[in-house]
Amino acid sequence: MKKVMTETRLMFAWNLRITLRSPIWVIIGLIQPVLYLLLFAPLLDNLSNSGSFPKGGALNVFTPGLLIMMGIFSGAFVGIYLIESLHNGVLERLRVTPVSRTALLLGMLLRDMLVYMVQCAILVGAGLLMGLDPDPVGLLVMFVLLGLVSLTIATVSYGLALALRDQDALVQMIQFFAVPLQLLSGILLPMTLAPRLLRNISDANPFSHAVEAARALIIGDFADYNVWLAFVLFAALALLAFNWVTGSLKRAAA
Amino acid sequence: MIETRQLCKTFKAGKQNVEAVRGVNMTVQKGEIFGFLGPNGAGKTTTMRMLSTLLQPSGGEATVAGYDLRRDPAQVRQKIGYVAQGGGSEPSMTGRENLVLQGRLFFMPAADARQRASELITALEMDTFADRIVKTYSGGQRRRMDLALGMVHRPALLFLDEPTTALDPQSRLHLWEEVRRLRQSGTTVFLTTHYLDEADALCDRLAIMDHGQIVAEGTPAELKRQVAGDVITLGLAVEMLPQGENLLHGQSFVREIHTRTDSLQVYVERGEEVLPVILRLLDSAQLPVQTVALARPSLDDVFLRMTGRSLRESA
Repeated sequence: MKKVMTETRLMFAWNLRITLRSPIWVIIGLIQPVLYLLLFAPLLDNLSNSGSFPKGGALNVFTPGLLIMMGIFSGAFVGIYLIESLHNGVLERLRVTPVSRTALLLGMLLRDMLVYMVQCAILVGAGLLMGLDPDPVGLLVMFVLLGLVSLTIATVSYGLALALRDQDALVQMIQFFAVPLQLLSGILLPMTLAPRLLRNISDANPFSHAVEAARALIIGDFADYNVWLAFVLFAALALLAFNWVTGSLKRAAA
Repeated sequence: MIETRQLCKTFKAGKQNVEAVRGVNMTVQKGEIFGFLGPNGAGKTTTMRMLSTLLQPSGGEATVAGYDLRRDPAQVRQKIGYVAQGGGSEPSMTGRENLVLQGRLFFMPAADARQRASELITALEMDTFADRIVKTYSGGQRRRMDLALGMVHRPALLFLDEPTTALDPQSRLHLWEEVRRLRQSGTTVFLTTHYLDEADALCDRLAIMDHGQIVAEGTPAELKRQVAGDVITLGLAVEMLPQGENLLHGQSFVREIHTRTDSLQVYVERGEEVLPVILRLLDSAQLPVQTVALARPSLDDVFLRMTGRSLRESA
């Protein structure tokens, strides 16, 4: 156990240094959500007075959705880096060392989570400037949830990377799934505006509950059933994904 | 250092099963440079990847560096170093950083890992580029760094997959020197190559591989002797050729003799010892020799004999 922790720390520091050497990607990942916040959120202001818009004001509804969207997209693409290290031999070299496969994966995931948390903090900061008015405790709990969601997506992305082993295939796969997932989770506009059929489909989408939970948390509504549901759902999904990926790392994967 | 019994690997390609390695039996002694020679696709890399714990064997047994490959892959990893065909240094970090991390992953304390990195940088003459990021290295520099990464934890056994492919001749010689120095320090080296000259110059013993099986094994000299022996070509005046053939035909050391248009081709066991004897014989029989050539069989002849194809053609 101590061995795994030391190794995880080493791999985390290593991966973080690689990321910091070209921080441009962290910034590029922020551009799209910031643009949405600046150019799309104001449109919601008038809409938010209509009856079926959830409570809390346009920014409080929109920002959590944006954060999850950023988590889906930046998380989904982390696998590209792993495919690169499959091809340039880095992963193979690491697999011949005694380093535990759990530490290899955790070292990457913790880096991804930290990067995402920093991006979230910047986006929330921008939101505050524009009039976002969060409940402080709720905001903290929401960050924990966001971390869990991004962890799940990043793990799945690594799993797909190991299975597909091809950057183009991974990108296409992500585009195939990410857009419907995003649309059916009420990220841009809340699903309360949707017709019944769409709303039912969206109920089966775990991301939709994560978005609802984040919206509830940011206004301090801890009683919303989506909050515990989202935590349970994503804890389970993250665990499943983690077992899957450490399994494929142990088997031949290079 | 390595012992395998009937080691096999079958891959699934669609519905078909591809037998990449079909029952490899071999023994590699401690302290030798052992080479796998064969064309691309012969199963050399697959065998090496099984022995270095990267691939699960489909069948057979192997002991590597004292541990059972199937039951104790973690122990095997402690003892071996592995340098893949394409290397494995992180391109966006410096060589030194790569080396330090590698040491840390083998449980070296930070200070020791830094010390060991500096040692290797000096030993492999990498001072001029070790602190640049790996992306900027030339092919030869990168290969040296890859080698150093495999050596960080002083492994008892080092696997090198096609160590000099795509290197310029000078870097190639340089790398050979490093490999010989490793042997001097007691490290066992197992390498694959499809270069005849590399196998010949570098390996103490080698196995020739084709279609997933070992077709011949021995020292380069033994292997070459197994084949046809040496060929001595004697240029004589045309009218003297029959006389010459008659004279040599009865000699015990001649295996075969053929008359060509203006020369005799004599197949013998040890050309360098027999040649002076032949020259003396012909001389005393008043048959003046105009030209003489002694040709050694190459490893390519060995490969040709074992597989019916030339390695140069199949590689």
